Amino acid sequence: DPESYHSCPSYNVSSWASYMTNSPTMIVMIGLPARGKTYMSKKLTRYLNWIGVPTKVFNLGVYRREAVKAYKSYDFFRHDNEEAMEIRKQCALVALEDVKTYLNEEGGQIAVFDATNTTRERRDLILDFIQENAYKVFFVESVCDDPEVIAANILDVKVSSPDYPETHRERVMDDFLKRIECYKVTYQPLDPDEYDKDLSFIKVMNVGRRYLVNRVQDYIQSKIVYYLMNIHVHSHSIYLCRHGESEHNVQGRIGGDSELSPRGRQFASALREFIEEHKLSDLKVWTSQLRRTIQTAEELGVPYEQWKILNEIDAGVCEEMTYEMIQNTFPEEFALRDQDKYHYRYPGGESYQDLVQRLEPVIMELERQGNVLVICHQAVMRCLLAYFLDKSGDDLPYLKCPLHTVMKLTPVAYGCKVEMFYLNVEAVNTHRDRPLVSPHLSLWCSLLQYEILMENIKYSF
Amino acid sequence: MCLKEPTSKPPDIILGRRRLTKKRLLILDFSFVFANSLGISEAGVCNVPQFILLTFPSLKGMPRELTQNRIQKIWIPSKDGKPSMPRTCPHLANPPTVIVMVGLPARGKTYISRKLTRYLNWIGIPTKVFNVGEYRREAVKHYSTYDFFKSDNEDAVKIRQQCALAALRDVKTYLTEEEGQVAVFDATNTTRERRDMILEFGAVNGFKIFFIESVCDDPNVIACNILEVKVSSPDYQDCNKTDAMEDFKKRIECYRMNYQPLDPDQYDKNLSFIKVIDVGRRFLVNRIQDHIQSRIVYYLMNIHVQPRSIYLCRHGESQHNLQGRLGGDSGLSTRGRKFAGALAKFVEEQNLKDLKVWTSQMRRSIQTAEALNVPYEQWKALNEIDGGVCEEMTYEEMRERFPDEFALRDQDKYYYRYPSGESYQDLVQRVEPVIMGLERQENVLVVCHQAVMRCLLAYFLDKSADEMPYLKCPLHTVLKLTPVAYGCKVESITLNVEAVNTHRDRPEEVKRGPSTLIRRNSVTPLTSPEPSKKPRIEGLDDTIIREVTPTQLTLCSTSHTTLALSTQVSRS
Repeated sequence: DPESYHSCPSYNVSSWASYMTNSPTMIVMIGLPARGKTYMSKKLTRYLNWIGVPTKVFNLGVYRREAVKAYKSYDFFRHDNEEAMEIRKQCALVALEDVKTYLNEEGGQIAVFDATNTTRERRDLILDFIQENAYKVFFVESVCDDPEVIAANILDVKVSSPDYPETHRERVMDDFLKRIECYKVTYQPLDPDEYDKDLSFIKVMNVGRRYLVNRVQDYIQSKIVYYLMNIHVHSHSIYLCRHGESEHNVQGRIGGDSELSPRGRQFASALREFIEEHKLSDLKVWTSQLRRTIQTAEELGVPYEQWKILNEIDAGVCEEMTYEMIQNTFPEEFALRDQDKYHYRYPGGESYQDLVQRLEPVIMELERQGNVLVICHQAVMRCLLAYFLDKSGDDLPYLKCPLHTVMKLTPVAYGCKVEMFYLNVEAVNTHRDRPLVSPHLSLWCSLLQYEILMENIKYSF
Repeated sequence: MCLKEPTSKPPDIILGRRRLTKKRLLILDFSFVFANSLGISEAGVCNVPQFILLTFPSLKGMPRELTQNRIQKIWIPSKDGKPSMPRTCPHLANPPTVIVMVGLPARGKTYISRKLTRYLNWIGIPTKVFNVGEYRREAVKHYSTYDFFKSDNEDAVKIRQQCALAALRDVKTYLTEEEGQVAVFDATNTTRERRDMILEFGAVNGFKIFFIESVCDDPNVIACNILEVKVSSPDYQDCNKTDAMEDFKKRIECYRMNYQPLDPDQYDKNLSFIKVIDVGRRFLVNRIQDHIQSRIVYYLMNIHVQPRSIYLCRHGESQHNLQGRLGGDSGLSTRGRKFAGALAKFVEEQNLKDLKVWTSQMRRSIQTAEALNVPYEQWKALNEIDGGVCEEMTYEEMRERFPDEFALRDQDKYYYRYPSGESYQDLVQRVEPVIMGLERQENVLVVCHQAVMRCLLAYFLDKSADEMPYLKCPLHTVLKLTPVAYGCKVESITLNVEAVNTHRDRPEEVKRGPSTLIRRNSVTPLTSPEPSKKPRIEGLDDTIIREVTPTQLTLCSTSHTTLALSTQVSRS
């Protein structure tokens, strides 16, 4: 079974991004092993899902490992190993069948075909498949001749691959380099001048130092190109937190533009200590344009930047109400929100889905920047967090983002490491749990939250 | 307190788990977290949990007070009663950038320069084009033939060099003294020598340099370009088209001899640049340095030159329009429905292939689009400006209840933000993805709202922030925008269905006031009506100029006239 770690609500009809893709698109990766194909596939998929375009990765390696349970050595990848070649081709065909099912029957918009696809023969086979099914195709080729980058990637990702359980590092490196050599023999890079000049593709050279972009067909392809040009691999950490506790928080009111409570101010001081202690050099600080985040940043004694798009979700007619008041004044709205919190839009206000769209430029800029501290708001932080932790629209509105807690996100290999720092200043709890509809769902919910912790969250004491 | 050791194997997606599981990883429920930053080892993981309550006393004394800017509604910290202006948007375009065009003549350099400048100004980054050709035309009033561009015409080479230097001086003034953020240096810049000089200029002044090279070998495209813009250039004022075409082609050949394209593999591999190949069919992008460069690249990848038209109109007259109320989400009036019918007829008459229709997510624009009987897309980004606390009020009610706000809005309508609502400036940020979408599309009809339409129109017609909120976008009128040469042709089609007038003129008392909004200035210095216009050819040697304007070569006799930049035609 290929990796599928995103569940997209099937009723996601009016997704803002849907206008961008009229026919399903297949993104086909190209490149020798250890060129960051899987990294790009996963990251791109995470981004596309987050902006509302249902996307899934189909990793050929996973199919191959299922077909051939025990990996022995690079011999398997020699081009003259006919038996193995046949197996690998069969795997590709099975994967393409799954792509077809995903795009035709499961509401998928984009399928990312993550394999080496280094020969014209293989790519022509895919092009036939595309034509048969009236999909669009966009190739992403990763070219890298910097031996250091390749070695780093092998150490980082491949050594921990299921192909090499409990073996020595040196042996793995050696085998993997030989495996790369096997592919090199038959590698035919995309030829922009002749053979492939009519295809739509991007060549990413030396980890984003240079790009060649050919025949971008539509808006989604241009967005993909823009995204690939903005992600970089240099190490950085992103710190997310909410403003200090506000007067409205204390009163249990949502939205508004109130000031910090005394405890909120205490948190702002604690945050300054935190920054000093972590010796964060060149830290950029971003706030919203609401008073509570600015007051929090003011205490830090460092320059900061205000973004209006980081403002809290607009609750429209419900602004400055308590949940109780909403329930009494707009009982129907209150119930509707619980039904589908991600798509629910406050009358005259916003939904989480709207918020994701609004925050997209922030994500793009976070991908470009070094260390950044974002002082934002509950709903905003949930959206940002969902991007980094690859959470579905269904889980997003229930992510726990308590007050007075800093989350440190550090990209590692294909995922994101999360550390949480509670700064020891008490605050009210503003989290409303997912309403428990049935015992079955209840169990599922708690499992889900548990899984979040298991996967991603590391606490420090 | 609930502490759990991880028992199951975390999934593969998370790398580094190996490192994590070696140490003691503690997992507990969110609501019971008590942690502090003491005892954290280098990796950020602590072996022994500690529960030490720390207090963090404020070491800085009183934080600065916040006061709200009344126009923009931005919280500004003040120290000792004096406000210290914070950055209100991410400070991303600093230091200033010089965009240097590279390419043979007739490769669309000026087209790209102007269009890009219009876009950057519109999104709020002050940008200006410096077209060396115009400096040259000012220095040498009478262009005769391509002989001027021969590489062995030493005098002419000297003049051209001096024009480039004069333009660079103006670039420097613009970026260091006139608060410009981006200068577009529009010239051929086809030699390494010239580009090295510009790089040196950038290094000395601390400007970032980004090259845009336009490469095109399709003779049809080049011929089209020459016909469309070059033969009507002041250089060929009184010259027939065929001769002008011939002369211009020879001019290109003069440049071709010394053309050294950007070399991504060796000589120029460390420069930041984009090569635009065959009018956007292919792009080579090298070493993007920052946000602004990545926005530029994205923009260049979205624009195209296919002929098409964009139709802008507002929804039909709404119930709120009738009552003179702002915003809200009311339905169409009877006349509004009549307009929707008329619009359907109009669209049919235009007989457009593949017309896309976009609406906002408000009832009145959707009701209008429904009448068209074609598929349409709803964009929330196209919703009307958010009037905040003033939503659904009439201007009278607003004047009564918020007299200050009402006056503030008149003072500076572009920056004015409704309490808990939006400003025109906010709106521009919001509709930017729509502009990007429009640039990619062919024929589109956008059914939107007054303020939104003003924003879109300001982009296409290159209107300043000062003019934008007062652009006239009456109800029941379709504006047809067709890109021509460097500008945009506008046709205004009134569909003959009566409607209320929702336009409020700029109040008299602020009409003559000093404009603080010189945000947008996308024309070259030569043609811009700047009060501070300086002689541009100071330092140019007059004797040389006289020598190279011989009278014997009069293939084209020209009289110098100011180049009209705005190619807008208004037919109403």
